[in-house]
Amino acid sequence: MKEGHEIIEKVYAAKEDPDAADGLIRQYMGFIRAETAKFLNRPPAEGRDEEFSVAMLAFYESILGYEKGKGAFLSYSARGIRNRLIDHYRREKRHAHLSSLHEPVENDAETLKIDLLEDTRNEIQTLHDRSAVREEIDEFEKKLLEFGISFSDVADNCPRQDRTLAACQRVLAAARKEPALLEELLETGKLPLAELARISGVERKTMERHRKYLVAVLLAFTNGYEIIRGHLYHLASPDRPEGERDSRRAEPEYGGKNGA
Amino acid sequence: MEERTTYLVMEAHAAYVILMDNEGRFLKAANCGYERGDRIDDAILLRYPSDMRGRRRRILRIAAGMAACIALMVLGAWQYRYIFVPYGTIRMEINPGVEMEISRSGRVVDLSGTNTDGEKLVEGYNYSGKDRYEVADDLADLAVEREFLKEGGQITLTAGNGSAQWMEDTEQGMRNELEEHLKDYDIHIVISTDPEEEMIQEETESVTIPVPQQEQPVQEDAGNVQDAQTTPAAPAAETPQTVQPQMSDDDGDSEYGDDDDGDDGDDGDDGEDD
Repeated sequence: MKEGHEIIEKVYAAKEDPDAADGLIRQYMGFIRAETAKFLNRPPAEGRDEEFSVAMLAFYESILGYEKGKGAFLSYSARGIRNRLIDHYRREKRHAHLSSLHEPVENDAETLKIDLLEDTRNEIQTLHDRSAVREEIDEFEKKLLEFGISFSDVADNCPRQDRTLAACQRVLAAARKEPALLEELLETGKLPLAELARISGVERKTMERHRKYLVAVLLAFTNGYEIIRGHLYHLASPDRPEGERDSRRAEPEYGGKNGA
Repeated sequence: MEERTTYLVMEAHAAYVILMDNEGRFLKAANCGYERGDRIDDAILLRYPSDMRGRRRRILRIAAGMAACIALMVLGAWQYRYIFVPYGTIRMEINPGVEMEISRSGRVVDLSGTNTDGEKLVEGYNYSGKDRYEVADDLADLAVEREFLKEGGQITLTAGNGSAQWMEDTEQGMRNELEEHLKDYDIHIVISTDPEEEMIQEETESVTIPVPQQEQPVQEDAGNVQDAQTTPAAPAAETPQTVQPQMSDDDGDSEYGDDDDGDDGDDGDDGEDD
């Protein structure tokens, strides 16, 4: 009984604190692995089986969605993991006709197809680029923390409806035409909501609701974040028509991993 | 050509990563071995429980709306059937004959004369929206007014087509109503059976059921035969005679087992031929 209360307390702490969530996930890694094994009928191979990553994500979703009235946390999360894995399996079935690069080649069970592909990348250049990206992200994170905002806060505060996202993009486009507003943000550490609402035509209430997200995006367009700005090429031109932006919006909710 | 969305990994945790897409969205997704600074093409995105709840609520709302529509349609169809579709008929023989088609609710949905006087009686009469009792009263008044119905007259009611219970209830209800309505006149209200249902009784026919003759045990001598015919324990020889007394030209023997030689069917020699 005491153990049950303890886990509930940890779950509630993990809802608010990403570090507590990481700790809880690490503590219940065996449970997640067991649930994945039940689904796969074999132990999952870490780093190879995407199902294990999906199960961990489902466990995190269970942490966010759990409430005391929903019974024991572990049964609740076991159900969540199973449902998520079933969804994943159904979606992946669509790509069943495709050949995986991680399959062994014919006549040699130990060699994978991916091992035979010629790697045309310049490894040194790639490492250098990745290092530069990391440095810039670290800088960006530090700047955000000065505003009391973490990446996790930004992700949770990010608009999830296209209409709201478009409104936030209008705010950004308007702010980029008035560099003084970006300067004011850096100097005061406060979002000039009234002025932004006036020049963008977006309701102040909408901006207040997504304040952390707006701060992050506006900061990315201040000096010093070339790589991040380069990645945001859909937002690069403030004069680009909104319809064109919307038509390019692609939301691949699911798919295989494709690391850099 | 549509530009493909790519994601930049901003932060990596044990179970998830935080990504930024080209449109500036910050998203949480499954960590399939990614590290900070990686660029990826596809991601398994986190489903926020609040979004799922909203989606579930939306689905529930749509389902509830659809269920309400179906319930309304079913109720509407049932109401239409109850009010407007003919369920049974009532025939009133005053001597002008009229027939009403009645829905389950008791509303008259059609009215016609079954003979020339009946057609004259209902001509110009507006029955729409009226129930059977109101129409019956009006028709009785009209019949009195046009002198089809006089003191000492009779109205015969016949219900048809509906269930037996419905017919009984309807006939009784109509009779009570007309009796109450015509209480100032000496007019009899009679319930009749549907002539179509009157079955012509067939004459009863006498059916002869032949009883097969039981095999007589083989008798060893003629003396025993005589005993068998005289003793009461020989029903097989007596029964055919009581069942078929009309066989007057019989040879005194049942035809069953008869071998056309006029004997009793016994293959044994009984001494008659001698």
